[in-house]
Amino acid sequence: MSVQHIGAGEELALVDLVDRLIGGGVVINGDVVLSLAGVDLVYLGLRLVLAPANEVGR
Amino acid sequence: MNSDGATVLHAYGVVPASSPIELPSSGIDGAQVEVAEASGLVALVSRLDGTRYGEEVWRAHAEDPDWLAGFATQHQEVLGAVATTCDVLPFRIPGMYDDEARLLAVLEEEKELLRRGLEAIGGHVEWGVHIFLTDAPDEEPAEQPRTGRDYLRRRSEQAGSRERTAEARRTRVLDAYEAIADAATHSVANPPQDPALSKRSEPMLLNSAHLVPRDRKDPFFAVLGEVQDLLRGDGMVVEVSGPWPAYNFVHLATEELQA
Repeated sequence: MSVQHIGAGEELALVDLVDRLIGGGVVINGDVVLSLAGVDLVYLGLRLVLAPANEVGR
Repeated sequence: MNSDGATVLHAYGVVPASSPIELPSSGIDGAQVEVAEASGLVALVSRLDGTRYGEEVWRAHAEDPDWLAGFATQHQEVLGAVATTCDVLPFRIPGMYDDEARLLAVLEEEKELLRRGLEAIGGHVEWGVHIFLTDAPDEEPAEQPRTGRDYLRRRSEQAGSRERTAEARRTRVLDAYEAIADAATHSVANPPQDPALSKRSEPMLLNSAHLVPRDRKDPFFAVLGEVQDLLRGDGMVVEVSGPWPAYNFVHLATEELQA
């Protein structure tokens, strides 16, 4: 039996994308650097993408 | 930078200047996807409305999950479409530039890093693999303990047996990961996603990414099939997602991966 394949173009789990964007992708100097005291706000924000489901306190 | 009100340039990633590329018909916000070429590299870009994506807007939405998720998804749609046929080094978001001259200057500055990155992932795509535990073996039916001592002994035996089962399962998952990694050029095991995040009730036992040559997809999937056959009896299922741009492997440009 073959494995379950979630292909490109189908609905990818947002958590998989955020997993990749937080951990990967080339960082070069964009003109928009949104940081506050060294904390990257966008990546903080992307973590929040995941937070609502996490409120149950796991 | 004060681009609000004007046009800003968003860069999705870079592809080698030499490769033929089929551009997606539209990008973020329906904008055209264009190319900006410099130093033997081609950046994929869209010109976006500064009132919707300028610095102040980013600042306002930097902690707005829905807005970021929408942007990230559209960013990925462009990269994902390109990555099926062409090497592409994905950029993080936000990759916003005032104008093309500014972007080209940055590409020139970073060209060595970007070229090395493209070389490292050349001819490859990323596949994501999850292994879930869908069918944990049932606990033995409990017979009513006669005494407190019986009860405690049974609790202790059950805990020991659960621990042995979990240990055996970890070994099988590790073996599975190694078998899958053997079919890939590079692999990385990331922390499993929390069930609350994956929106799945089953525990995730493996969350890995594998850099696989485009022309080795079939052998890679064959190995996944074999692994699935081996694990099914233990109530584990294998799922694969992709092909993804090589998000998990862009660091190959800057550091040696551990084997």
